Amino acid sequence: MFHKLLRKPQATLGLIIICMVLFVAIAAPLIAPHDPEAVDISGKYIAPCAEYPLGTDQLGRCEFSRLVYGARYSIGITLPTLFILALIGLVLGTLSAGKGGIFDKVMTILCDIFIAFPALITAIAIIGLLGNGLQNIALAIVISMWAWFTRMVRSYSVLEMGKDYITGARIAGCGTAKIVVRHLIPNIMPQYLVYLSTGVASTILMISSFAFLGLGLPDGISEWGAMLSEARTGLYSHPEFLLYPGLCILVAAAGFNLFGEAMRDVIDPEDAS
Amino acid sequence: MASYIRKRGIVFVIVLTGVSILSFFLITLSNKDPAEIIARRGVPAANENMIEAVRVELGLDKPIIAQYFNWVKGLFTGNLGISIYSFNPIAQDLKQYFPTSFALMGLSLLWIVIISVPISLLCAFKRNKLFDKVVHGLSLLGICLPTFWLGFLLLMAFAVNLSIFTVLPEPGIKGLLLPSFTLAVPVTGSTIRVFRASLLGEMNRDYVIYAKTRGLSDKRIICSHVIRNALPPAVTLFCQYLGYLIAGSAVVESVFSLKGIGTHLISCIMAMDITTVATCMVIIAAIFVAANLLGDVVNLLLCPWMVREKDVS
Amino acid sequence: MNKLLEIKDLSITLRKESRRIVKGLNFDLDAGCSLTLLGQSGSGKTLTCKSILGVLGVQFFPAGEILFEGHNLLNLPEKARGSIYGRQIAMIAQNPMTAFDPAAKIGRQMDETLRIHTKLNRTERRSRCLHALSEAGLTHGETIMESYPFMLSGGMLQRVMIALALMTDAKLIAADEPTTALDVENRNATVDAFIRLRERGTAVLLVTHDFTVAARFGGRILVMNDGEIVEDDAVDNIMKNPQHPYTRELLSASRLSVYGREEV
Repeated sequence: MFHKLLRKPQATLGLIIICMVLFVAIAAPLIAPHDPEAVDISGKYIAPCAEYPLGTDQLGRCEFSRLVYGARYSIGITLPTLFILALIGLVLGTLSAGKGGIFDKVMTILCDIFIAFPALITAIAIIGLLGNGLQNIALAIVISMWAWFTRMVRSYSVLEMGKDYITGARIAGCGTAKIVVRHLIPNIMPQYLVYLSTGVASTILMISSFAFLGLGLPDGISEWGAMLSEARTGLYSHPEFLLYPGLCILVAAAGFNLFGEAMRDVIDPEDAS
Repeated sequence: MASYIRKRGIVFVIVLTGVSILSFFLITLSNKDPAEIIARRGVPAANENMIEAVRVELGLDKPIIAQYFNWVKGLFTGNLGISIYSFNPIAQDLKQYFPTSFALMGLSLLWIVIISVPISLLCAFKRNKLFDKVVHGLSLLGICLPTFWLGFLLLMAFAVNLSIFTVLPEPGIKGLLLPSFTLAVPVTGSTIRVFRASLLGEMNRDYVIYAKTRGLSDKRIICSHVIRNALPPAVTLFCQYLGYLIAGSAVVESVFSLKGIGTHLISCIMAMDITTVATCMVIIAAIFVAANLLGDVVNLLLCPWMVREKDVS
Repeated sequence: MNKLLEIKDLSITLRKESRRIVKGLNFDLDAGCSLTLLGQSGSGKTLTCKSILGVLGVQFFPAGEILFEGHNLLNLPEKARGSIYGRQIAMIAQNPMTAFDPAAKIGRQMDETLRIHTKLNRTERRSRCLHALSEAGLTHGETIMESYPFMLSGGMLQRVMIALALMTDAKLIAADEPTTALDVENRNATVDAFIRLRERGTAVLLVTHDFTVAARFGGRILVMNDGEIVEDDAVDNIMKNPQHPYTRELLSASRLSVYGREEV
């Protein structure tokens, strides 16, 4: 499958972007020329030059360094959070479809209840309740999104469970656990990976939305969404500082979405005619 | 058909009950004492007795279960309690802020429908041609755009540089045009993708081929048959995105300096006014569940044969 | 000459792989006669039928000529399609259960076909539909017209398709594997319905992989293998004296007795 994937231009582009963002996030201290939090009022709004590749913002901080470190926040919060969400969704969703019966009915209604609360608002409310902090952000996102992942896995699983090879396995005497682990999960993973890939993109957007609204992270942190919020005051004078962070968010999200889309096309190709 | 609607109705009620319980649970998590805050606002040096009096007045001395039922009753009667952020009755605050947000969402919904339906249809007609590919790319872009960034870009373009709109919102529809468009973009992108894929999927079906051999033109097949059968996934997605619209309004309102329920919610959260937050969330969730039920009913009306195929868990 | 359909050097290539699936077919069909295309999957019989019906699919590339009363169907302008397909040439689809729009009533789908091809008013169209339904062997025509496709059985839906062909007095009916999706009882009924159509004067092109169906239907058979015609003769002759080794294989694989009558 990977070979087919890499032949598609969207997949390669997406993968390149993802690797770039990951690289920037990991190697931030090596790439950034300055400390992103270093305030220097006297040096505010310096034009782009050799020392400050994108200039400095209203507090004299190096914009480029801030953007580079911003990748750390986006990736650093998103990936672990998504990993947890993926796990929860996988376990609960497959169990729900595998066991069926009352457990399934209860789980479905539970998911319906949680899904009824819009993810962004729920996460904001929880962060507001718990206060700032990276773990709280992760917790808030998990609480607001777990039901979506569970429901998605459940619907893939239900479709898969209806297939003949599962019936065959049951007749052969496989217990539910074995069927789920050995047969169900490997066969729904490709579709799930597509969903997770687009899920990373949505989570990056969500986190930057909180930061934009001022929640979850301490003030002045170089997270892209927060940077955008700070740049509001410069709407007339220095609009470029509104441009850069947004562009970063866009590119990061686009990378994951492109890759996910390309994966989906490979797994479930649209009819060429 | 009737039994299906009945089943969905029961699930609807159960889910709403669950939603209300969860929201109330949120209220109980708050460590602020509303009685104390309200009492101190009136009389800064309030002593225990006065606080206790306020507590009784607000009904907060009763056991949790009773408080829950009181709260639910309040949801129906309109007595929602007092906000510890604005110190107004919550109902009054909501009446003030919901209309703006609803107008915003309504306009967004209009944008979404006006843009996605014709474009998806055109894509289906011009499959794999340049138009289709461009739309495909743009819709992906739309999904990846941070809403607040798009808002600022539009503001910069149309308010700062072109002066068609003002940075601070004008009253009436004109002031809501840009914000509603901003809100609509990601959902439009998604809807176009889903609807287009659904249309294309339908066009590969057997009945389309048979219709062609009966002499029906492509145009007639698409308009009379394919659209109707292709709508359900788009309708379902649409209703799900209603939740996003409500949530996204918080961000958009912030960018465009609108005073709607979104910004009010954020302020309440900052001030730990959990009661308002929970009440709003119940209302929003209830609207969402109702919208989904409506979507399912619409789908059923469009395609009656889907009842047999519905996997009601 | 009385040639209704002439296939001249028809080749169908799969675009992506540049592979010829149908290789230079040549055959004719006279008005009021029948022709059976017999072969296994992959022999190209379905593609041939689809190209005659004008629904080949963009992944295939046809070459040669398909002449229907002198007009080349492969070069047909869009406007002329409406005057031939659904009117002079009708199709019986393979799977009746998926052949109709599931969200529209049968009556509406029948009516819309008439509206395209005739200038009758609503009452006239309705009576023509009902008449065709009863001619096709369906009682309770009104009920059927008020039903959605999922309410009817496969056999009934197939008769609706036959009715649609009768309604416009089609000169040629092409049926692609009409018996595959049905059970045995309905299978025989279907073949008998086609026999009646032929007796009525309609040309029938039957595509099937089932020798027993071909035997029951009778008439002329073209045995196809790997995109080519390997044998062209009347059914009785073929069964008594198959010439081509492939035909012999097919015969022995089916459950026919020496004299070509189906053992019940």
